[in-house]
Amino acid sequence: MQRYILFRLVQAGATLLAVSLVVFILARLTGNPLDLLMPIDSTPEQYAQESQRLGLDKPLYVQFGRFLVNSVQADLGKSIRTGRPVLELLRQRFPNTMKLGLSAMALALAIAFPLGILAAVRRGSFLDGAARTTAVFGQSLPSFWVGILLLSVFAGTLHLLPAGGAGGLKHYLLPTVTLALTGFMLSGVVRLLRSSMLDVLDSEYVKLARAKGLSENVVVWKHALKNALIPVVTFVGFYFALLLGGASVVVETVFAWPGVGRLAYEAVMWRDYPVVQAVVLLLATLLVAANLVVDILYAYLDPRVRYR
Amino acid sequence: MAVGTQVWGKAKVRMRGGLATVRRAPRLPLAIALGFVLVAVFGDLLAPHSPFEAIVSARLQPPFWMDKGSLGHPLGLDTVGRDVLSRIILGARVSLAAAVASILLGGGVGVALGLVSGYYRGWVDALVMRITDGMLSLPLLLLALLFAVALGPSFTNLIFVLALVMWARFARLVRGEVLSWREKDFVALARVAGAPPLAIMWRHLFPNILNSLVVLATLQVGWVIIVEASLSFLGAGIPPPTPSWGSMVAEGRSYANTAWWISVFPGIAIVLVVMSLNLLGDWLRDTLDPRQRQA
Repeated sequence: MQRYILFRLVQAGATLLAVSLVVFILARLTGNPLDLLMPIDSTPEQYAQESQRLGLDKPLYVQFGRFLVNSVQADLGKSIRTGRPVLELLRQRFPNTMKLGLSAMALALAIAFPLGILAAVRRGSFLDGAARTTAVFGQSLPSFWVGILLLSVFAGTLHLLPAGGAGGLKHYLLPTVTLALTGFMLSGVVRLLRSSMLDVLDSEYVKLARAKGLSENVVVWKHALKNALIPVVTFVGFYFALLLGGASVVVETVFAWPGVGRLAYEAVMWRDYPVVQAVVLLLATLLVAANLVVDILYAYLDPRVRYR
Repeated sequence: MAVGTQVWGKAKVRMRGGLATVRRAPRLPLAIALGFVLVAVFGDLLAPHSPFEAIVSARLQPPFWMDKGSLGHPLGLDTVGRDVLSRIILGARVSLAAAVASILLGGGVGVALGLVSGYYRGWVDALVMRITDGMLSLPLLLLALLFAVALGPSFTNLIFVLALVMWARFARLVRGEVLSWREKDFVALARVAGAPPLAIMWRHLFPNILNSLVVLATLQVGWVIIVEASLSFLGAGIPPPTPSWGSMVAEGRSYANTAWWISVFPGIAIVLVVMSLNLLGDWLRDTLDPRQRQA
């Protein structure tokens, strides 16, 4: 088991190193930030001076080496566009992404849990069909479109809710609903919980519990659910990282939410290399870590995995 | 030889079963998916107007059932006066072409890597699977955005970007299937009979994983359409003025309160097509591939 964990840790480190190299190169392929930032009438000398100040005149391998060494020491550099330290930007923006992600997860799970359980208990019923349709529907909604529709109805036409930005509870409502409906969390958990409940309900110990004469409620909610939750809980972490890493970029952009997703989008558009690198690495680290935890949990629960 | 006939015979039975089962496919999703393909292929014949022709004086004209609407432009005109219906019809072509091309490319690469990786195992397998695992644990939309901006907006680059974020799923699926099929007797017999590795992979292993591949590809079409639309929405997909459903939604965004039809209709098109494809994919999985069945 320790060997397995060690192996997976080394692998995760290698993945992140590869990602940082790819992102480093990609960011520099998107174009020169100075083309967007310098005044149009700048002289070549001013260009060269600014390049030198930002360290962009150095060979790429020197820049990459410096980036790696600094990153390990928690120095992520300064934003080329605003001059503010990247670490400070992340510290300011990441909590907003987390808060939005957590509230979306809470809403998605509040819908998914009863739906998934009831679908399995009343297999083939109307509810089962509704659960399946919800799962497919959620996967088929483009988040940016749902966001725009909700904004136009509740902010534009009815003037009930703010049109974007972060603030009080009212600001959370629309982006939370959008993220919860369209992310993989809702559809994934409904499917997983339903099939896992079906497996468990068919097992010997549930039959025994029934044979003992326990009421159906106790069988379902106490004996079956506890065991059916194991695979679901391991995957919720992974879905959450996916929610932060993927969906947040689009939803935060639509709702002008001051999180890391919108930060990443703006940084890509402004060719702000240090910010792009930092955010992609942060989100990749989250995803890799979530994967790692899921795998290790599985290896712990199911010894066969370790020897594959 | 006997082995070959057996596998062939099995494939034949599956084909016949396939034709019979198509009739049992969910009707509405099948009809919508077929309609989508037809519209995408014959779009220029079906569209009532050119998707580029702008009637500036009548810009923001509403759909026909509203005041000032006209049947000439049933779904209204967009921000510069182009026919929304015609743009949706030609946008279908962009969505389908991008989805099919990127799945052929990404799927092709993934299948090849998965076959080689599962068949040879050893260090090739270890290397390919580590890259695959790494790929699958990345924020793919953000990476696609970065790639798209780095390469510049064009249809070819978009295909490349979509294929890049997709091959890993195919590689993982194919490799897993190959691992179980390669231990079967008919593969061992083919090897003893002196069949070269490429022939074993192509003639003996590939036909057996085809079912799972069809299922994955169908489910991926919907996902790719959403990713393509999201990239176009963010301004890093199909460059204007080519109509794409994602960029149409983006164009109507600042008019969503007044001229809602500009972004609502392309969005409905995305939801209908993607949902139909997902339902078909689920149904295909249940019929073709009982082992992956999600109960």
